[in-house]
Amino acid sequence: MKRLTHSLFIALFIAAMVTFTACERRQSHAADTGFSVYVVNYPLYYFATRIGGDQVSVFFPAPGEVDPAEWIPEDRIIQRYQAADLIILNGADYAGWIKLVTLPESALVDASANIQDRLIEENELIHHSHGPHGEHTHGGTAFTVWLDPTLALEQARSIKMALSSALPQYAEQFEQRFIQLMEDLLALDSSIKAAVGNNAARPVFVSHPVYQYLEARYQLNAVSFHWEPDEMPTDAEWNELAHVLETHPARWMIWEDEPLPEIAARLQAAGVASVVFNPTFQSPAAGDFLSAMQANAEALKLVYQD
Amino acid sequence: MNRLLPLVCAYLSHHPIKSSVLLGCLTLTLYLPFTLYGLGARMQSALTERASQTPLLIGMRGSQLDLVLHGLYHRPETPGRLPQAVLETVRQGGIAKAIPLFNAHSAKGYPVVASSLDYFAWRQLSLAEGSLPMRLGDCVLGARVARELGLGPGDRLLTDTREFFDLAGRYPLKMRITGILAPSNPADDAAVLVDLRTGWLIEGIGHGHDLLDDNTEDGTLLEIRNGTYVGSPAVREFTEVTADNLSRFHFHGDPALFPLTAIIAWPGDERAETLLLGRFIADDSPYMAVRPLDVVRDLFERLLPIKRLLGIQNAFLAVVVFSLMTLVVSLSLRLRRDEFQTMQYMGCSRGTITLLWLSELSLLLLGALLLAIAAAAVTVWFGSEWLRLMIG
Amino acid sequence: MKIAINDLVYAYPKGEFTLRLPAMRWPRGSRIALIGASGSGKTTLLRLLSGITLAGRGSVLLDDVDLTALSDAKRRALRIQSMGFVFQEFRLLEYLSAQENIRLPYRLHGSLAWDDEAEKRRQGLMERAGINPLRLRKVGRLSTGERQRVAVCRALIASPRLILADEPTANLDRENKRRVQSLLFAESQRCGASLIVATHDRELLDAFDSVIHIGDESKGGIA
Repeated sequence: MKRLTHSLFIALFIAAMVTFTACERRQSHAADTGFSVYVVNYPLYYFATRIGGDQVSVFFPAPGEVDPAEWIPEDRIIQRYQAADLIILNGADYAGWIKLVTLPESALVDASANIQDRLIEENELIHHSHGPHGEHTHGGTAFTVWLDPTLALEQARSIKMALSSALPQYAEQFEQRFIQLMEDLLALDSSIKAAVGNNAARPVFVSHPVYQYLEARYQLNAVSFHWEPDEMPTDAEWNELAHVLETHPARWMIWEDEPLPEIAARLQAAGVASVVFNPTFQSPAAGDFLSAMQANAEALKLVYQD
Repeated sequence: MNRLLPLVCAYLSHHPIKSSVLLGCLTLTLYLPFTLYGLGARMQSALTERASQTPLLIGMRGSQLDLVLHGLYHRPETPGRLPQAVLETVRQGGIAKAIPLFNAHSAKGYPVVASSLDYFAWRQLSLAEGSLPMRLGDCVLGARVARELGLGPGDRLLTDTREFFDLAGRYPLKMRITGILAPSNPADDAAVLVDLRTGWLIEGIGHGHDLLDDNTEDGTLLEIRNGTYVGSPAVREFTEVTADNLSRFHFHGDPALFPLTAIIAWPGDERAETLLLGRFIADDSPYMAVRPLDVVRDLFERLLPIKRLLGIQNAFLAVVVFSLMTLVVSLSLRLRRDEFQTMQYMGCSRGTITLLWLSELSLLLLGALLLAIAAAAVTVWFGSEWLRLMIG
Repeated sequence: MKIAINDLVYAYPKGEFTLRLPAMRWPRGSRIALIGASGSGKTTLLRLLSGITLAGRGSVLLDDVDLTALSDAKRRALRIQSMGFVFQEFRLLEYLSAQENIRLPYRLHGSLAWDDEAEKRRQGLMERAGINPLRLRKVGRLSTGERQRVAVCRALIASPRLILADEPTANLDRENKRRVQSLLFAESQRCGASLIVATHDRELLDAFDSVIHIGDESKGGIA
């Protein structure tokens, strides 16, 4: 009997021994040599490339012929964004597609996060109301932040900080390159300031409402239209122009791109000359962001220094 | 012992029915407590493991257990919804990483868990097929969901409407399945994972419809009042997101107020954790931060009396088995009295005879023990799967 | 084995009768037949001689060792090491084969080692008993006569110094009777063992050195 109790005890003991031992799973992060940075417009591409140098690969996969603000990437490209180490967004509601696709939150960097108070709310909003939800608004913020070199500088600073925290081993290099870029941008700011001179109050037209930050920075006196450089405005639009001219005697219209000769000619007939200020949504045909912006500053000289 | 073993084996095999019945009874009596212990341990380890992978959960103040089961196992009960702005509160100062969860809807009965892509990485979920959700309206199926529904990448899955006539005017969303997850853990295996915004789309915060503007000609534009384009209820809302209509989708209201049901947070270090907990500790805070591991441990502590009761029951069982064994042994001894007497007549010692039947008993016990352990292991293996399904 | 009994008195527990035996002595190698009617006490005497049963009075000396003075354990040890017993009802283990039954003493006692010699002896015994072909058969499937011969072989396997046989030929035909008898005689001779056989078989009596009639007149007396 003693043996029997003993056996039973052993049996129960073994049962008790069949218990768990906690095992902790550790997440390992494989060392990655290639660091990929995806951006949503050309200026960000330029800043990231200048600051990142050889340490990072910067990608801006929007095809050259599309407006990256209106672009919706196809699945294949979304997957590339998903695989990125860092995705730099312009902020200011730019590139609506980022709200429609799935991106890894932890990789997202809003380059305008530190300039929220300097963003410009757009006046023209589209409201609509239907169904049980009631009225709602489609509108947003002006997004061409980089046209103000001091804001561009802040965007660049955000990029530098994001890169430095992701790749702290290169922080020094990023800092040095950022300082160079800062100097370039401040020089650009001086150039534009010089181009505008004391004539900022001079009335001008802009073909599209994309120059808000430029206008704000240099206190330009501009009225914007919704004219496309490759599309002859309607008569109504010409009438509107004539109407505005009465109170806003502009002698120049600033275009995003070279307007059709016939548009330029008809404008000229109305006493308004055409000049191109490239907002650099896309990579310029020649040169880079800085050279394009310097060219823009030169163009502004025509407007303000005759 | 070696001398006697052939005798024992010969006896047992000569009486197969008697031996089997004895073996069976012993096995059964051992099997039950083994299985209970095994399942209990498995359940505890499963709960503890998942809880320990989730440092902190933040949700509306309420039942901590509800929040933990919701955050860890996608159970539908939640203490309530919290605004997305809390996510910023968590991330403030970069002291913690945070993953939002919005799990308020279902598709074919499976929870639709809306979160960020970080959730996949953090739970170490890998794709068996296809790709991660790419745009609004995309979903990825847990392994079990895919298996049970027989769906795969490219197929569509309709979300459930909670009521036949949904007064909020929510339409079921036809989701595009972009991928299937490899089997990982029962909670995620049985979930449909979507992007947070897709979750809000199902909730009805976002929608897509034809543009209402000056060019709207189908009669759905009722009027333009103070620059507001007023549409009729007949404005066609898209029930599926496609490449063509994707750009027509938008959200209404302040994103800071968009709902979440829980936030998974993991602070960088202990100090960060203390800081973070401090942000939610105030009595008047509508939110709470809980350590799932604490909640699970607390749960097990509360279950301890039951465990003890189970222990007492097992002790009773042992007594019963012991009594039964005594009965069986005495019956067996009586049956074999002649045989043992012969051995005594031949000069066999009492010790040898005792050893003989003890060996027999031990052999049976050993066999029963092995069988019970094997059977319990099998049960625990399958049972824990079932248990996990129950929890998950 | 030298055997001596001194005024044995054994009262049956149920009080049927009392077996009384006067002093007797037999030298080593004696062949003694016990005869008497059924229930006369032949089996009881065999048990008294082997120490299975103890007498109320008197003593049994085997090679000058007083059985009644030995502890139970020592008596058992003496029995399994030095005696071979053919029980009247055979007392074989049903679940063992014929050869395993014969080997049983070796299983039950550590001092007996089953070696090649023992194996050879088993084979020899079974052959001479005419049951070697049946050696692997469970004893439950053997005829009475075959079982009896297995029982005889078991008694002889450990080369005992005292062979006690209770009706070892009762169930055998003439030929097998002769076989078993010669086996018992030959083996006892080979081992120098004393042989005590309780029998009804008067045909066999001539071969024994002495014949003891039990329970004839005075119930328990000796003729």
